[in-house]
Amino acid sequence: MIDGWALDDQKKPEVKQFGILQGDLIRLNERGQISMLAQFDGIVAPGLIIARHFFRGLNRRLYDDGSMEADEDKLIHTWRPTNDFDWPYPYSKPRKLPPVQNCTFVVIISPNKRHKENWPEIYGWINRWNWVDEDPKLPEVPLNWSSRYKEKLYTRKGGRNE
Amino acid sequence: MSDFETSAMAQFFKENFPGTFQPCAYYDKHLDCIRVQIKDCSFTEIRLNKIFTIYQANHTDNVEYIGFSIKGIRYVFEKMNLPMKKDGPYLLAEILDAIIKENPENFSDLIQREFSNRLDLPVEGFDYQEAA
Repeated sequence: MIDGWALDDQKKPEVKQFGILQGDLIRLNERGQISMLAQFDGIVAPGLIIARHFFRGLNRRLYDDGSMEADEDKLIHTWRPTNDFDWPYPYSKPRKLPPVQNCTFVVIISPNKRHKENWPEIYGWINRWNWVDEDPKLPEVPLNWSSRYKEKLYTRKGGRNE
Repeated sequence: MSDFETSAMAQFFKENFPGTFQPCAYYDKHLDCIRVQIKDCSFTEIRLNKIFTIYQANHTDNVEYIGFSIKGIRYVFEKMNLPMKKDGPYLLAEILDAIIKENPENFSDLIQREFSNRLDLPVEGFDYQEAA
């Protein structure tokens, strides 16, 4: 489980716990997408707690977990990590790299609504993580965020330009 | 010292040998999209529109596209009442046909603007001078 911020009260963020399905990690590994696993280990797990900007809702149609409106529920946490990671050779070890220039890092999360009974401690499930182009005027914010996401929830102070 | 930043991932790779990558296409049920990836590396996802995203490799000297996603797949199935199972798999063309009918504006925009420019593919009937 990974610590991160919950924005139920947008004026008072709280630290909650986030999880990822073991099956998702296994499928990534079976497909050999081990650079994503290296990023999960090196960026997402230690970094979700330092996420800077928080959005809700994807601006596109999305069916997930029995809902035709799953796009409205998705949570998006963004920040600029100090490193990137990949894993070019499976028989070697993950490689630490500089951060990607002019990009920010995005984690997409599903709030834990339907599985509270079995996983009461999990606030949200981590679905996806990746680099996207950064807005040149708004540090650590994805380019064209208002066309990607439905609403901006919160920005934590203490970013790299403050 | 461990090769991993977190003990959880160190434990995961004690139990699972790192997989060998093969180019692949798969359905991502959490984000309701088909993903195609031809290389394992760090990449930036470039959103073209509500339907298409392409993946560009990071840390390379040249621009290199290593995959793409087509979004909203199951949504279209549900909205158009397409059965999830029938005799045999759906052809990709059938899925694209359903998405095109649902989102015609995103396809025409993509074909004219992105395929012609980014992939350097000539598009018949496309006015390049006007686009420039």
